[in-house]
Amino acid sequence: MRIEPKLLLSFVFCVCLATLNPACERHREKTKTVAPTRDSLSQHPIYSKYKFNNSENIINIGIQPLWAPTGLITEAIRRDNVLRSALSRLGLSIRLYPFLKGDDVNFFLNRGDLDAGIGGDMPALTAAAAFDVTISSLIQYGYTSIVANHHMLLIDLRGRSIGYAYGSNAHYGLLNALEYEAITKDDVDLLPMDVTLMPESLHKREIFAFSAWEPTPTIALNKYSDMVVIHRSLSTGYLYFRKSFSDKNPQGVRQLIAAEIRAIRWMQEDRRNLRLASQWALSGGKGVSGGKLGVTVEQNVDLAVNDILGVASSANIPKKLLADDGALNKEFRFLKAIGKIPVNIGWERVRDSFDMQTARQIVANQNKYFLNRFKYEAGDNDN
Amino acid sequence: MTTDRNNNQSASNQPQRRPFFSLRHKMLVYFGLLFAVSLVVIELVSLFGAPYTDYEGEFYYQQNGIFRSLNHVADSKKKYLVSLIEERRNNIMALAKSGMLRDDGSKLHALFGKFTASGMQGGALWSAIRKEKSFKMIVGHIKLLKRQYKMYEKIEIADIATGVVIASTDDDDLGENVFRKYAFMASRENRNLSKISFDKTGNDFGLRLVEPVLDIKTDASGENQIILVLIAHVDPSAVIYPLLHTGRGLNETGEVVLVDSDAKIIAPLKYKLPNGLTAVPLEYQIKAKPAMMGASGEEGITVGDDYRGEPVLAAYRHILISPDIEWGMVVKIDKSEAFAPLYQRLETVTYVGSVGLMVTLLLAWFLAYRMSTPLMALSRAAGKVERGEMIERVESTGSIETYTLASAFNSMTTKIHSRRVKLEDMVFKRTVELQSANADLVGEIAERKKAEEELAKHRDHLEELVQERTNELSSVNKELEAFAYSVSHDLRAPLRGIDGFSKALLEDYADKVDDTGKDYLSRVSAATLKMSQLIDDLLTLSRVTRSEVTAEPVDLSALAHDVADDLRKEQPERMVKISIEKDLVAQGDKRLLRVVLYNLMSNSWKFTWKRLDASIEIGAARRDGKIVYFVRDNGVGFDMKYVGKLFGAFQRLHTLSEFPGTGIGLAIVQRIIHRHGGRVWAEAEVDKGAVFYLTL
Repeated sequence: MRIEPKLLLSFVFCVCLATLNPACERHREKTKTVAPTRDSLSQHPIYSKYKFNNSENIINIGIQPLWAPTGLITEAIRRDNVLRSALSRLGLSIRLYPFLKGDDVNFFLNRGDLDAGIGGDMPALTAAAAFDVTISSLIQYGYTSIVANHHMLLIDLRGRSIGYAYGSNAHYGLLNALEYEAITKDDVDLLPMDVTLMPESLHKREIFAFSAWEPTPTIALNKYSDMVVIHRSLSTGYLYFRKSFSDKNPQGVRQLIAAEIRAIRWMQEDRRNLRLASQWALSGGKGVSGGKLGVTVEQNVDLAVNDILGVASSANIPKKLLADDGALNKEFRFLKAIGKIPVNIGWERVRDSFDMQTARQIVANQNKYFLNRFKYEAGDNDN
Repeated sequence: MTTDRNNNQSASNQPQRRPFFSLRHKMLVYFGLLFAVSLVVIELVSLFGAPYTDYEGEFYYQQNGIFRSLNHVADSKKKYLVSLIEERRNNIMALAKSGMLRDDGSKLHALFGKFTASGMQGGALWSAIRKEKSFKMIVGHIKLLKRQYKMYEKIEIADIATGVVIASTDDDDLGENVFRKYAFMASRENRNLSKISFDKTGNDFGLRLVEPVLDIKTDASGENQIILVLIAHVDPSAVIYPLLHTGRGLNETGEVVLVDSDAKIIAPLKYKLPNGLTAVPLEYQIKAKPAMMGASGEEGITVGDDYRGEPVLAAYRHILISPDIEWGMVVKIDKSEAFAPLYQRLETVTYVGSVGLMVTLLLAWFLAYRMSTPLMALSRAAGKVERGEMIERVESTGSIETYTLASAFNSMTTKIHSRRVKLEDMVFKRTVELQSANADLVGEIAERKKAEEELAKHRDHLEELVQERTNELSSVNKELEAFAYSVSHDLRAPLRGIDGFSKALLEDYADKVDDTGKDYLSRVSAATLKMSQLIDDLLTLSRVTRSEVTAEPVDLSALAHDVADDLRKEQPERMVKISIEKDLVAQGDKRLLRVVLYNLMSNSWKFTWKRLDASIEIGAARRDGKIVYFVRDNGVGFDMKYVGKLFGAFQRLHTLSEFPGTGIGLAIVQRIIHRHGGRVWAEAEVDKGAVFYLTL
């Protein structure tokens, strides 16, 4: 019997397709995870253990120890005796609760469990669009990164599975970067996951790349030498308050912002201070990372310097960010376009949530707020 | 002539030869294609990788290597640039916080306040200031700093309250108001901060580092107040430009482009613009994607066009100097240079491939020639054999295959020749035999022809005989009919005499004849009556036989009703159910068909007299495509074994005493039906009735 070459080739091709397709499907099934829901946050293994104190004298603040450099700043704030004294005079004290990402902070802030929180630009904008907040100061000015197993162009991510943290800065950074190459979220397979799981998932090839904020990319690059950062996007982070709280406790808000500026200046003054704060942050991050973080004290210092301390000497929110052609307005429009912010929310509502004056007033009255007086407790401190 | 026709036929049966489809051409094409396709596939795999393997191709590795290099250069330059600015910043910060500057600055600030408070101004004020030790110390120190680093255009110290420059490396600047001169100093907040600015004020464009200088003494609240502002002007041509245009990794076409947050260039470009003009820093805005992305805060690698529209590989970086100053940096290299080794290799492969292709084709042609030459010889020999020429032996040379083929061909032609000779002998013998048989056949055909002619003569004679006999029979028949008629007719007169005289004897000599004689006379009278009836029937039969049949459409239903009425009138006491199908029409003689119906229906009427539920049915049915008319009754019927006698004249199946009649009726029926060209038959069962069928 004579076999036609075309027929044979077609047969081989079909067999290859039939073999590969189920394999790909199996791989996708294996790697796909479920997006976090509100209910799952309430029952989160870490957050469910928190006992929020709803006393009016306690300021409950959601922080992110795994987010350099905010981890250094918030750990310094935790140990700031100047702040403690100032708040004491107001009859207030602070409690800090570590979270994995800004979207999680928003959930508890909106629920009334938290009075203030640390979050990136995307969580801050979505919070401002969803409920009443006052975004008072800049706490990070750095980058989120897309990490892959080897050098590649953004266009090479089309059709690939990418790990990301839903509702985070890195989520926006990823979508924004993909848009430069005209890749939409439907063109890639986005897999929501905790940042702590991303390096391992990438190493096991369960995902093709991941998008995360520091120090996760640095941890990944430290642990796996073949991993590289293929793209970085500028991102910002903010300290923001539930509006009902900031309206009721304006002095408390000012003291917290002053403490942030003080922490920045203290760390900028001497690298030894930076190292100390870095140690505090690494220690504080263990609670949510489930163990050793994977970055050294010096690397954490460098990340902090890159992401705020080497850039700003105050916590002022740059006015250009809120300009009509500014980065935040662009991000706001993008988030509306992709459905993360409802279409009926206007930019004015979000823009008016930013308090551009308070931080500037504090800087202008540095003596009043003791911006250059540094008194920090040594050692670990658990509230 | 015949051979030519066969040759033409065999030629037309062969597939038409197409040019370039000979073995030689095919081998050339196949070998050429095989070589070319293999070369292309190997080269494509080599360049772009093999699917479903880890090998990603030299194009990928080359591009990856270049991107790695560009990334390295971009990161290095970014780091170096940021470090350089950071160092300058630390310089200035350290200077602002140094005990010397704070001490002498506090003194100079106090003196400046004191002099201006006393009303001194202009040249007198600055002459007095210049004489002060603190001024000399400060100016000496900042001039030393400027000389040492060679990166500062100038360093100024201004009063925080008024903005007046009270010390500077450039003596001409004394007394100038920096708050009015530099926009970035306009807000009080900026004066309080460590700040970096990059802008253009008239022709003065560059980087400025600002640091507040605190009073050496604390105030009443224990704080050190800011009294002075230290402003260091960094010369971009000394700091930034060399950084951009030095170092490895950029090759010939490589370039580092620095832009501000609006993607306006900060440093001069390496190339002129497409319109031939030279781009002016802080005025020319780049629209190319890498620069736009870098300026927008993105970092990565891309492939795209640069400001010249030239395809490039680029690494773009975002440089965050301060929240107010963000730059974008693009490190790029022309694609043509980046992939030059691959293009060179492609050229080489193309050249070598072309030579290889020619060699392959030559080799293929040589092989094809070697292989096809014996085949061509075979082909020529086969052609000769096909044309019927004498065979010749093909030389067995070349490869084993062609040798085997030639041997087989030679063997085949030998056998063909042998068989051809035998065949010709056989054909000759058979031809002779056929010629002999043919001669015999011609004789036989002549005999047969003669016999057929005689047979035809006999047949013609037979037809004449038949016609003759028919005529004789017809004449005899007519004579017979005439005889029967005349006999029947002539017998009536003596019969009437016998009957008349018998009745006269009974009437006139009744008293002379005893009872036996009377009985005999009565029997004579009855016999004459019966004989008369028989004669009438014979006459009827005779008339029927002789009468002309006139065919016309006849309403059999109407005729049947007419006959039924007659029967009922004859015996009104009988209750017989007569069913007649409507619209029974037949083609025939109406008068004769009524006779037929009358005889059949009167028979049924007669043979049903014993039944209280007597019924007669007249109808029609279709059998074998023909219409069959029937008369059915439920009378005494008859035994079918006597059916052969049924239509004979004067034949009776029942006793006369039980069913009177002459037995001529059915004979008349048959005669009439035959005259119509039809057929009549009957089916019956004893005591269950009878059916008479007829066709016309």
